[in-house]
Amino acid sequence: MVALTEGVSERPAPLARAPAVALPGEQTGGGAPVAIRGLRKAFGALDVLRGVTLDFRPGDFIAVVGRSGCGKSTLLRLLAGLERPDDGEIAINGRSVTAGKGITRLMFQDARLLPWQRVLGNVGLGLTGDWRPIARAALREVGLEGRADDWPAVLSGGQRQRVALARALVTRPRLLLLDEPLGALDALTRIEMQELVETVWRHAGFTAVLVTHDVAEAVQLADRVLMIDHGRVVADVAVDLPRPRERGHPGFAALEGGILARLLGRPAANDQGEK
Amino acid sequence: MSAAVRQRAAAAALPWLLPVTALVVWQGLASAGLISSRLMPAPVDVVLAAYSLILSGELVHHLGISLARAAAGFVVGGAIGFLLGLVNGISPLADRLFDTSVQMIRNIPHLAMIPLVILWFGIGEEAKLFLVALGVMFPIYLNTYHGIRSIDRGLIEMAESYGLSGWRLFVQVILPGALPSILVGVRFALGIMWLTLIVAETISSSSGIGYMAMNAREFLQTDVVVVAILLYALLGKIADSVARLFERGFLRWHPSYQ
Repeated sequence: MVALTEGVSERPAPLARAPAVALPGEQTGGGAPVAIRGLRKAFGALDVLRGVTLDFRPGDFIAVVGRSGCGKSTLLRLLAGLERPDDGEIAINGRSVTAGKGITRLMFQDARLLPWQRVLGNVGLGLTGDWRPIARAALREVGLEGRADDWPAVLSGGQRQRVALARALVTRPRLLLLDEPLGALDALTRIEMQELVETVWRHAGFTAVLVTHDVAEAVQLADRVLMIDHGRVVADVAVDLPRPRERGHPGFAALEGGILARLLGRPAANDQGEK
Repeated sequence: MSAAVRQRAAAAALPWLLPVTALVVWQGLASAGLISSRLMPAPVDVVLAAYSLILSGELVHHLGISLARAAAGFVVGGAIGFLLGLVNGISPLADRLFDTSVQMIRNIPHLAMIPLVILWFGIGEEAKLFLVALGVMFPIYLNTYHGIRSIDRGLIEMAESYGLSGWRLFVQVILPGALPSILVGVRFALGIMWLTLIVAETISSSSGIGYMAMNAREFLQTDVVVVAILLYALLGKIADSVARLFERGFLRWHPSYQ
């Protein structure tokens, strides 16, 4: 079956990020480690998370897959501080979620751009001081510098998510949480966005947690794929394929097939190519 | 003239087609003696009456007073309605405390208060200010409240998770999100503002356009009465145009205004 060891990341060391602008009072530099201990969350009588314990190494790209309602989005919202756990602890960079808010950014399933702010203003949301050059640089990173003065209403779905990505990157987060941000995009835009997310992650070196229902996307991007079922982590799969990954690669297909079979509760259809 | 220019001119002229035709027919009937000038003076007589009122300074005097009353009442009532809508929209506690009372007062036709208002304030400025403010308050209250309540929760959640809170959250997310609805309230309120003022000035006043009209009635100056009525139509149109201008300015981001 799939290997349960942690994959060795062969990603280059985080590059010096353009632009070299650090926000005052913020530490830049690499991803934040995340430690989750015995995390529980219930909504009414429904136990959404039932004791989740995990460690994310700094700079790792983690994908969380599972059926709808398995608790994967709740896990992300707990990490983002949008929900409070009933029990258990989360440490981001050794500190509480509240203390880690400044270094954590969340990308939502819908772009959630403010329609009354132009693209540049959306990217610079929450920044103070001379934020325009910083926001413009973040827009350049996602390839939308030319749309800085447009209203969000005239952008396509993919462009909106690019702006949302720039907005998340502008504060140089050390933990980026992605709540199925590519779920609503068409297939081609989706592949482009996956490449973009991978590129910025390789450059910026943040720890990334991607929630997705698309197993291929998880295998494409992640160092580690976590499967959640009924509020528990049921599998932890290291993805040891060289980047950038090719979907046609036999190792890719085998991993994807194995994880899918597990999610569907079936024995793996073919054992070829598996260790 | 190119076809495009002609088309634009035609489009600009179209809204005025009916009013202008009505004027022409009216003048024709009056000139032919088919309408008694005591019941309905001819347009030309109305224009002449307006001209002499302007020359005597009477028109400007009354117009100025009416405008000042309208503006003062609008500002006072609008501010109260806006603040109340804001507080009730944001705070569930304030909502529970105030909303029932506000709804009860809202359902009293404010013009029914006129006898009471005259007893309270006489026919002075306070009476008009009170009535206009009371009338203007509710559409602005309701639309501010509704605007704030209907803001996309996801946007507020996003803004909070991106570090906005308090005043910055209000200015950057809540207020602009509620603004389309608030401006609808402003347009409603402007209509109510004129209506209230006309009634208040007609019933109890010693100045203003309403007074001018009532005074002219006593002397059977039908042309002056018509001037006053047309003036209200014009003022209403101007107020609505200003409100539209605000909408275009503030809602440029909105797909409906692009």
